[in-house]
Amino acid sequence: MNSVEINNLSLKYKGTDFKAIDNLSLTVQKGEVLGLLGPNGAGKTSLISILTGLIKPDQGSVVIEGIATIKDIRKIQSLIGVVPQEYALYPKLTAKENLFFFGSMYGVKNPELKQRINDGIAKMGLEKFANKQIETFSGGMKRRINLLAGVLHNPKVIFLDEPTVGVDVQSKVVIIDYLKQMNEAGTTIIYSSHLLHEAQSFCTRVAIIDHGKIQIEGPTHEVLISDGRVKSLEEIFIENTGKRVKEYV
Amino acid sequence: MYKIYHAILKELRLLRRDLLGFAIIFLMPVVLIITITFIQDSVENNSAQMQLPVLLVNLDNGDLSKKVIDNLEIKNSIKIISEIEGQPLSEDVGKKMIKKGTQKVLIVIPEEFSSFIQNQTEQHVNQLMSTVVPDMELKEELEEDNALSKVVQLHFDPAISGKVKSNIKNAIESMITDLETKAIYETFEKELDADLSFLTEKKIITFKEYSVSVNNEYIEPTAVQHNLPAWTLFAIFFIVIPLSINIVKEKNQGTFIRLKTLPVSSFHLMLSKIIVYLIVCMIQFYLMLMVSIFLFPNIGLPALDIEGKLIGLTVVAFFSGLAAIGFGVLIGTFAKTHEQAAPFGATSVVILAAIGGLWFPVFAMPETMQMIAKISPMNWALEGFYNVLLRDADFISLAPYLLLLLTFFIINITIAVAHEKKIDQL
Repeated sequence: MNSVEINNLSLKYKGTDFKAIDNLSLTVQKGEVLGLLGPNGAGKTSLISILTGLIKPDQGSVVIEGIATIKDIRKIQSLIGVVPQEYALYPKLTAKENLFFFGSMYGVKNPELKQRINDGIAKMGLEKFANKQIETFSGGMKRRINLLAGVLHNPKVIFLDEPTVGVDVQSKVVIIDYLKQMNEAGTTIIYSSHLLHEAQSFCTRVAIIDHGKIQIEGPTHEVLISDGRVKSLEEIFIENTGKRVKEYV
Repeated sequence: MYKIYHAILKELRLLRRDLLGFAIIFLMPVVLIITITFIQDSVENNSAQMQLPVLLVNLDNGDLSKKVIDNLEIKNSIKIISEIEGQPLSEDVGKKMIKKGTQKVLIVIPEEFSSFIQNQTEQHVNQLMSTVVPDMELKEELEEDNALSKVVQLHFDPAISGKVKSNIKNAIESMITDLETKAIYETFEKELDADLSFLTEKKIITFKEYSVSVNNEYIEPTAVQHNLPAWTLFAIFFIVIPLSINIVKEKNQGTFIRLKTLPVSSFHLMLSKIIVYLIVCMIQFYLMLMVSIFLFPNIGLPALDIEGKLIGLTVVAFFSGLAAIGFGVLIGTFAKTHEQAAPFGATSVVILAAIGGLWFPVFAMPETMQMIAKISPMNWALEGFYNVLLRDADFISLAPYLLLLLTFFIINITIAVAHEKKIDQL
């Protein structure tokens, strides 16, 4: 069953001819972990921004959990979880206060919300810091709370933009384990990253994007087979996006 | 409601975490109103006792110039200085002192001032009498040069304010007019050989000042009653700065992206800010009221009397707060950085205050500025406060101002929401 359907999506930034997304179509099944991979400026963040309702496409349609984004974005926003690349937290609020605010904005009520916050904080190993202000946290701790803030409402689909960038190995392991548990519980995950080793082990499916188009897409084990042998995701990535360093302005 | 409640809670927590900012929001308006009222009250009290030193050089030996000096000396607000270190003051020394700024005002009464006035009045009376008494002998007219030399010179230090200058000019002008009138009557008495003293003994028209009556009692407004509305408004409108910075901060933090993906509208999130900052405005207002009522009498200032006016004042403060918050939201929505929001917010509030008549009365402004004042939210709010506090106005006369403030709020919020939506379209 489809969780996310993307049909002929296009996006051009105002005042430019640059196509951030170029007639892109993609389907994600329920319970899949899709890795959106691509060089800088390939269109990954633009695609996630469209899928989460942050920006509207020029053309095409998106259906999430059977609801077209154009019809009821608010309904979709209550079904999805978003974990941006930035630390989307209030530095002056404590971890718990941040989670209470974002959880309540998703409509989760007490005592359920309190329970989920305590469980989440425990799983992330941050019990001692639950009542400390976020501005005192290390990068890894912020990333863990950043993830929790986007999933407290048990979303059906989670969109993650570089969720483990710039964190220590321990934090990375905790985050990926937490996501794996959510995926095992049936949550669809769409994950963008530059960390190809992590994507190779974590994603059930990958899509490599460049110039706003999908260059290659399929189940991870199938994508890794090229020229009759199993390659690393890094090799496949270079084959599809080239070796040249790309600069997009 | 659940979401708005938690959004309000978040805003309150953010405010509470910034203790210094929190203290500034509440304490600065209180410090402001105490300082300004203290200064204004002292100036008003002292101006009654204060004597302005005025240099006087009298080159005339007649009676009329002496009368001018006597009249000036009677005035409590003027202290005549006609001698320096025991020596009579000369015109040159006086002018030098004014030029240096060591003295502020110099009056020079010209030679033959008294005889000139006497001759002039006699001539005028003579001309008038000749129209009723045939064959009356006409007196010779004074030479033009001689007439011009009888100008009373007034020298002012350029640093002296225009108001003081015109007060002194008016005082001298009215004094000379009185002397001329008296001289005319005296000449008539002489010509007609009759006693006309009854004409100058009593003024025909007198005046008395009345304030607006409240419950048939005439109440004289105090410095506090004049100051409270103006400086309360100033404080309320300064909410524009923390509010716009709060919005800009949120935009520049990653939280903005998450907020945009939440199943809650921008208006709901904005509403929580509006409610919290409106609460802040109202606390500021009540704090200033309490200071004016309870603290002022203990520090030698007149207490504020708001008997029967609390509801009216609260309503005006509420709508003023809405207008200020609408403006703050608009600035916060358009500004991209803290550096844009803070200086623009502060400067625009000062400009709005000046235009709105918080510092200078609107009637004293040029016509164009008076027109602009009429479309200034601070002026609507100020008039609203004055209507309640000083004019004892009813709700009907207050309604237009409240409606204007509400409209200003709605327009600002509508533009801000439309701008947010435009950004979403990218």
